[in-house]
This record gives sequence, C-alpha cells and structure tokens, in this order.
Amino acid sequence: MKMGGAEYAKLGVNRSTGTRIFSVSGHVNKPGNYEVELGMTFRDLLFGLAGGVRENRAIKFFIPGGASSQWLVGIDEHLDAPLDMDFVQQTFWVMLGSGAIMVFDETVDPVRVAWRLAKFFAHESCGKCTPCREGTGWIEKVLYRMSHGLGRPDDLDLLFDVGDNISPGVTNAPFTQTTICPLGPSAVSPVASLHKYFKDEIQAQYAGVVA
Amino acid sequence: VTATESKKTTATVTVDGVTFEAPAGELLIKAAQENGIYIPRFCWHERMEPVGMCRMCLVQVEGGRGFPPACTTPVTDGMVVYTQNDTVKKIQDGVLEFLLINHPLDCPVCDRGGECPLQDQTLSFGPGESRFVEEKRHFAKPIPLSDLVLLDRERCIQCARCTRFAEEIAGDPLIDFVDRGDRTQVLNFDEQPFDSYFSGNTVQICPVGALTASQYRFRARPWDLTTAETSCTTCSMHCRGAVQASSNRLVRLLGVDLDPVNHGWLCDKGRFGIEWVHADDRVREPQLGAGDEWKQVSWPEALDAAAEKLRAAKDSRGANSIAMLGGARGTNEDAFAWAMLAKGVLRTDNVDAQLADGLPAEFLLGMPRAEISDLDTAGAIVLLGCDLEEEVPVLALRVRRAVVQLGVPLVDCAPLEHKLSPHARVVARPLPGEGLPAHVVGEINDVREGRDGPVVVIVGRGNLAASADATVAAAARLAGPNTRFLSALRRSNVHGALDAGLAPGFLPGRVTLEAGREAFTSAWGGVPKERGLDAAGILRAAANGDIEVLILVGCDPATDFPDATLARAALDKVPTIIAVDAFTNTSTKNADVFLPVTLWGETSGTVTNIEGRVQRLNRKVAPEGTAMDDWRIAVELAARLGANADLVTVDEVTDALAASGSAHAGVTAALTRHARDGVVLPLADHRDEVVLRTRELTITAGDGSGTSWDPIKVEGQVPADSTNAVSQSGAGAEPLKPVGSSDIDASDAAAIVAQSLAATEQPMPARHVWSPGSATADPPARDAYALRLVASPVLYDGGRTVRSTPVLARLRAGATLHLNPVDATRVGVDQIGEVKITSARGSQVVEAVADTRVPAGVARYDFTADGAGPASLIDVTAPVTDLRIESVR
Repeated sequence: MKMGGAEYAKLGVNRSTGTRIFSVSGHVNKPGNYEVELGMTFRDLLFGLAGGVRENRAIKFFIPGGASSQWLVGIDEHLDAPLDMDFVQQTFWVMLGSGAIMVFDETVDPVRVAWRLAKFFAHESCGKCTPCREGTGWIEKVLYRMSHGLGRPDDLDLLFDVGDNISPGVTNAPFTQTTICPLGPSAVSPVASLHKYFKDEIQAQYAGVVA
Repeated sequence: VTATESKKTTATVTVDGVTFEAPAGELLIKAAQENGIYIPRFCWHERMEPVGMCRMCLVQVEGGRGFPPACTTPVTDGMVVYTQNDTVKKIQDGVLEFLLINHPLDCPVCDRGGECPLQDQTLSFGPGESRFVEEKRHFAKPIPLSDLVLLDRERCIQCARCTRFAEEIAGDPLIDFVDRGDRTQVLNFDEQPFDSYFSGNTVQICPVGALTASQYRFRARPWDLTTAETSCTTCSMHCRGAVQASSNRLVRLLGVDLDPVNHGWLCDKGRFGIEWVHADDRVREPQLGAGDEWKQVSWPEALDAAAEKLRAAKDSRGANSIAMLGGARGTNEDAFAWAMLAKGVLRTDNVDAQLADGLPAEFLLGMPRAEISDLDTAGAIVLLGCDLEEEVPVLALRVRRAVVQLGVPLVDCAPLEHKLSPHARVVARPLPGEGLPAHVVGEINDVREGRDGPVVVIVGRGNLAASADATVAAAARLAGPNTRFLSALRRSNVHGALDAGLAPGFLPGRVTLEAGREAFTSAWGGVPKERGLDAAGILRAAANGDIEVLILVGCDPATDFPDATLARAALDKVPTIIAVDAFTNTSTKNADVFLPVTLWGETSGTVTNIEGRVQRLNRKVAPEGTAMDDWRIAVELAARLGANADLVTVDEVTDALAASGSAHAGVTAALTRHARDGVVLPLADHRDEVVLRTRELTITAGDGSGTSWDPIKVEGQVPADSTNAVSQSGAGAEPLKPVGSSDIDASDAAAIVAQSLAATEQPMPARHVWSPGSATADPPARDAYALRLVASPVLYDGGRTVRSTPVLARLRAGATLHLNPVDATRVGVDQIGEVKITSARGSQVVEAVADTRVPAGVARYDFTADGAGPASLIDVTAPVTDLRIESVR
C-alpha cells in the first residue's frame, strides 16, 4: 500500500509480480509463513528461509501450492525452479495455488500421503456430479488399500485411468474436467503425482505378486 | 422471410457429421434428439430445468475447450459437435463406470430390470466390465418415502429428477438430497412423508429402480406387459396414459406426454386407481331382484325384465315417470346411446349426468371455452370456486406452470386457501353464496399489464353446500369478449356426457331440446315434449312418488349426492330401480334389475375432457364376467322397446354421434383413431390443431432410449396448412405414412379433416350459446353465531376408485371440521376437539381442528362421497348451508 501499485508491480518476475506469502509446513526446521518476492527459487525458500529439512534428510517430494496441486520432488530441476506461476505451470504442470507448501522427507510413504489427500477430497466432494461423487470415493478406497498393505499390481494404472475419467488428459496441461467444478480434478493430482514420480517404487512392492 | 431474419430463429448444427437446422437457443441434447441422434442422459428431462449433474451427455464441441454437457448447452449457428468419437466414448465409459461402481446390480429382482435406462445405456454406451473391487456403499433399504413410493438408496444414481419434479413441477418440495460425497442420498424430511398427489411421477421418471411404487413392486416384468394407449378417466382432465396388463390384469398406468393436456404427468389417484377394475366384489353377471335376494340371470332375461319395467311405467304413468341419473362414468358412445334411449325412445327428459355437484348445463354447454394450453399465454387465470388439486390435480400442475414458470398472473377466488394461493396476485374470498367483490374485476385488468392473452376463468364447484347460482353469477360478471372459461368439474366424462345430451333440456351436440327438435325427431322418431328435471328435481319427484322407474347409470346418489336426506328419501320411495353398474352400493343394493357393465380398461370408445378434447380410450383387458358395454345395453333396451337402433360396433356409435351432434360434426371413429392429440370440439373451429399419428406408441425403443422414464410421446404430423406445422414437425420429420387400418388416407391431415367434416356436413341444429344473466340472488344473511359451511370435494374421497384400490384406500380422507382459529376458540376448541354442529337439516358430533387456511366465518367440512360427513347437513334447495356450532363437554 505504501509503495503504490506501480512500484509494487516492479517486484517479482514476468507476469508473477509483487510478493506472496507462502505457508511452509512439513519436515522443515522452521515451518511458518514467509512473504517473499516472486521469482525466488524453491531452494531458497525451503532451505534458506524455512531452515532446511529436519535431521538434514533429503526432500522426497513436496506439494508446491496446496492439496489441489500436483507434486514436485527433491531434484535440482524442481528445487531450482523460480516461484513463477506461469513457469511452474508450463514446465511441471503444477501450481503455486494457495501458496501452501508441504515438504515430505525421504522417510515418507507417498502412497499414504496420497491416501490422506484423497480422503480429504472424497469428504469435500459435494456429491452433485457423478465423476467427482463416485470417483473421489473410489480413489480413496483404492489408496486406502494400497497404503495399508493390500495393494495390487495394477492399482496404480487403475487409479491413473480413473483420474483420467475425472480429468481427461490430467498429465497434459491444460487439463480438462468431466465434473462441474475443479474439485474433482484436484483429487486427481495426488494420483497423477504418484504415477509420474513413484510408479517404479510402488510397482517394486509388487514384484512377484501375480496380478 | 429473408435469409438474415431466418438466421436469427434457427441455427445450423452438425452433430456426428449430420447437419440440421434447429431453433436457435434450443438445448443441444433436444435438438440432436429431434434429429435422430440420441445423446445418452440420466438427469435431463425435457419437462424440467436442466442441471447438468449426471455428466452422461458430455460432448465435444469443435473450437471449444473441455466437454460441455449437451443438456445445458444451447445450439449456436455453425456449431460442430461430436458425441461418439474416441474422446467422448472414453468419457461416457467413465461416467457409466462411476455410476455402476456403487450400484447394487440386483437387476434380476429390480422392478426396472428390462426397462432400465442404466441397463440400456450401459449396453449401448458403457464398458463391459467393472474394475471396482472395493466394498460397495450400503444403506438400509427400501425405505418408504410415503405410502405409495419406496426408495432404495443403493440403486439411486443421484440424478435429482425426483427432487426436481417434487419442487419444480408438483410444488411439493418434500424430498431432497442430504449428506455429501458418495454418501449423498435422497430423503424425505423427518416425520414428514412424501405426501404429494403426484408422487407416482417420480417413480416413472426415475432412471433406475431406486423409486418403486408400492402397488407395482414385484408385480410384473416389463417384457411380460402388454400396452394400450388410452386416457385416464379418473377425473375430467383425461391425461394421456399407457395402460399395461399382465395375465389379463391391469398392473400399471404410465403417463404419456400429450403436450396440450398433461405433459406426461399423472396424479396418484389416476395412476394407481386401476385396481378397482378387478375388485372381488364386482358384479360380474346380470341379476334380478327377488325379495331381499338377487337371482343371477342370463343377459336376455335381464334385458327383457328391464325393458318390461320401462314399458309398463311409460304405459301406465307416462314418459315423465321415468328418470335416468348418471352416465358421466362411461364413454361418449355410452352417453349418446343412453341419451337416445331416454330421449328418443322413452321420451323422458328427466336425465342428468351431474348429481347437483356441477354447474347448470345451460352454462357449461354454451360458455366461451378456453383450451388448457391457453393457460400458458393467458392474460390472467382466475380460479372461481375450486381447489384444483383436490378436483382436477393435473390441471393444478398446468396452472402452477403457467403462474410460477411463465409468469401468468393468478386471481384466486376459491372459497378456501389452497396450494396455489401463495402465488396469487389477487385474492378474494367472498362468503359462500355471496357475489364476487366489485374490486376484483378492476384488479384483474390491473394485473394483466398489457398481456394479450384471454383471461381464463377456471370454474368449479368447490362448495357442495352452496348452490351453483353464485358461481354462475360470478362467471357472468367476468364474461366479456376477452374471457374464456374452463370447467374444473371433476366427474370422469361429465363433459362428454353433457355434450351427448345427458342433461335436462339438451340433445346430443350441445343443442337445446327446442333447437334440435326437428333434426332429432327425424333421426330418432321423436324427442321429449318439454324440458325435464335435473338431479335434484328428479330426486324430489321420486320422493314425492312421481317417479316409477329410476335408472342409475354408474352412480350412487345415496352417498354421492350432496343432500343425503333427499337422496335416501327418493330411493326408499321409488318403486323400480334399474342399476347399470359394476358394483353394488347403497343406492343399488335393492335394485330390481342389475346390469353389470365394463369399466375403463375393458372398453373402447371416446371421451371428452374439460376443454372439449375428444380422445380415444382403448381396451386392454377382457371384461370381468359377462359385463357388457353401456352403449350396447342401451341399444339392446332400445331395440326391445321397438326402436330401430342399428348400432353394432362402438365405431358405429361414434360415427352416429359425429353425424347427428352439432358439436361433434366430423369427429368420426376413423379420425379419432388417427388424431394423436385427440380432436377439440367443435372440429370446424379447431381443424388446425389436428395432429395425425405417424407411428403407434412404443414404450421401449430399440435405440437405447428406454422411453418409459423419458416423456413417452407418439410421433405425429400436423396439417400442412397449419400455422403450427413448421415449428412442430421439425426439419427431420419423416414424410407421412398411412398408419393402422387403411380406412383413412393419412397422407394429409388437412385433407382428412376436410373429408371427415364433409362426410357429416348437412344442416345441423344451432349450438347453444350461454347468455350471461345479471341477476344474482342475495343469499340470506349469516347470523353472528353461525358459520357458513364449505363442503369441498377431496381427491381421496370415499368413492369406489379409492375404496377398491388397496394402496389408495389407506389414504382416504376422514371427516374433520376445519375452523379458523378465531372461530375455533369461540366454540372452545384450542387445537383439536369435539363439537356439535347443527344445520337446518340435522346435527352431528364431529372432531374440529383449528386451521389458519380457513377464513373466518366459514367452516370446512370435506365432502367424502361416502354418505358420511356433511351430506346429512346439506339441503340442495337452500342457497347456502349455515351451521350452529356448540362445544361438547
């Protein structure tokens, strides 16, 4: 307010101007709300301001912008990406969304995180349109099974296809939706992320299991 | 019309490579369907607002992003749509899989199995197998939403058709969604059942077996049913329906979407009131009275006996000693044959199809008429003296639609508040017997606000405890060049019966005795000398010993006449009763001759509804016992009395009426068979409205569109020269093909109408025209301690349909006196309590309740047509009935 709109808009990068408050939580040493100028990298935010990961572990994955966003993982390409809304969307198909960043270290089972997120979305679904009402519940049930040791080898492919029926072309931005509102596609984000980054890890559990 | 102008009204659309023109702004799903492309759907229903919830109709539009639902997307010019490409197929597969994951798949024991849209569309559009291995969701089931409708929440696919129907169409928002996510379910509210007069429609439009009717549940499989298109005659609306039978029993009636009449809806009394046809206590064989007992006899014996009684009475005491009551239950052909027997053969004019529960024939047969569809474009709708939902329920739906959805102003002059009252712009509730308040006429003009359409006055008889005079006087006040009337008299085919001459002073075709004397003397050999008595007059004459033979044609004056005291006195006194009925009742249990007749579902013919629309009834089951059609009994009796009545088939009777009745000119049997929407009388004034059917009704279509849940429509073609031709036929309409029997060349509707009219075109007697009088009799003043009685008919009364249909019998209304809370307090009734009520005729002790819907100064006591209730308090000769009310301590 003190700076005036024009001056404020000079901060930031590209179309992502000004500052934003990011709410960093999870396995970081200094969780909290940080107002930063857009354009800063994830690494500077998470390892600088938020103090890095507890016990110096590696980041396994993090949710860059609220539960509805797809995930990023602890590789340099992701950590060195700038906090630029257009850039992350066009490059990684994720969003800065609400600015709620959750960090998960290497001890975490991504399937369990995905299940917890799915449970949230299944509960949040208003029940009006078919794909969201039925799809979020289905995803939740399958992820529950998987995260409780009852997974099957083709579960991940099934989830991915169920997700595709809620949000056709979910991995190829701009995705679309068969639902009325974006809640259904949001519920697909954890599933798409599992499929994208952790397919091998998950499938390895089922080595030797007959489908 | 220039090219640019036509662009504004239509859009060129290409769907799956097929290009067609559709009205601009029409919903894509409908435009495609009209042009032969069926886009799968569950939640969309043509008669309700779209919601886009089920997502089954998602399509791809070229140049657009995403997948819009065809049910919420209007067509635009140049639109290119795909409904069957790989992308859309994948979505359809997905939506169907979602719908099925929690669906119980108990099709083999589900009522809907075999006619289920979910089954059909899964087969046509869905995946073959489910990938769902989790536990399905479970609910307690079935749970009753009401006495008539049960809900299986596991089968429900949450399409909101039932909840939308309840709120939008019926105005009974008693069911709604509760909970969220995959626990979303339809429920009624606590302690408040889904008591709607229209609840059965939700069962019909449910796209799965979630809603089942307690009557039809587990009674039949769809592939066992045979179907006949017909009209419901429970009241005088004559909603189109498809009656279905299994093993010669009527098991189900479905609403057929007849645009001018019922939009596919039925009321529950009509829908479920079919079982009485097969009731155990039906009289199946002719009987002769022998002392206190009856003796079963053959038809020739019974007919001979009846004819002999009639001949003897006529010879000994003259034609006027014979009277006929009833006739509103049968077809037009029945009524015409009875009129011929009574007026042409017996020469008595003591004939009345109304039982002092209607309006004078002089008014009904001569009033300027509106059609039901005029309601939609009316300048205003005036309700004069009737609670439509209790009397003609589906007409109440049409009024509701016009008022709530189309914005037509409503003027409510019914004696009591009713369900449509909150929507009224003008309300006037004069005391029974009093005239219309002067300010109403001016206010009607105010609320019209320049709307062009006519003022449609719906005239009923909402109070059997007051004479019809005040209602007719009010109608006279409202009469004018831009006023049209629509009758709301409930009794089955009463309008057809009156039109066919079953009223004192009238002959078939809406002509008076005088106007038709010459023509009918040459047709029948003679007509009565002078105007006879109406129902009240007949019963008074009978009580005085002036009636020798009383013919009761499907009526029970002892319980169904407002003045029970008079009716019982008359029935006790009259020497000979000839009963033409399907059941014994209080009036006919001592009949001397009992002639058992066929009922709806067992007989064919035509009927005429409140707007004068003649529709064809079709027989679905063989009659019980040796029951005979009314018209045939009348013809047999006429022959035995020496008349040359050479009528052998029901079509010949229809044609005889078409040839002799002024109003019926041209309405031949052949035309009624082919006219999809029936024919509005007189045909010459309504020839443009005739639509010829191009295909017979089918309930299940082969293209995956199970039609019992979607509006059931019969394909048709309007006359080429009609103003409606272009808009109604649509660009994709098939060329006309001859249908059914080849008795008529169905290639050109206009030609057929002309041909039908020409066949009967001869000088016809002039039709009667009502002249509004100005005289209004002043009712006696009400003293301060009396309340004026309103005895209104109720839907679930004690009549035969309700009593002999098990699911409806439970709903039968009780006898309770309703008082305004202020009046109730005065007689010591806080909320509910017993009171003693006394009229000039008698007194009763009755339960009274305080009811804010009753205006001060009146008492509501429902007329239940079972001899109980207000019938013993009413004197039909008095203009009004005043009650003294005392507390009982």
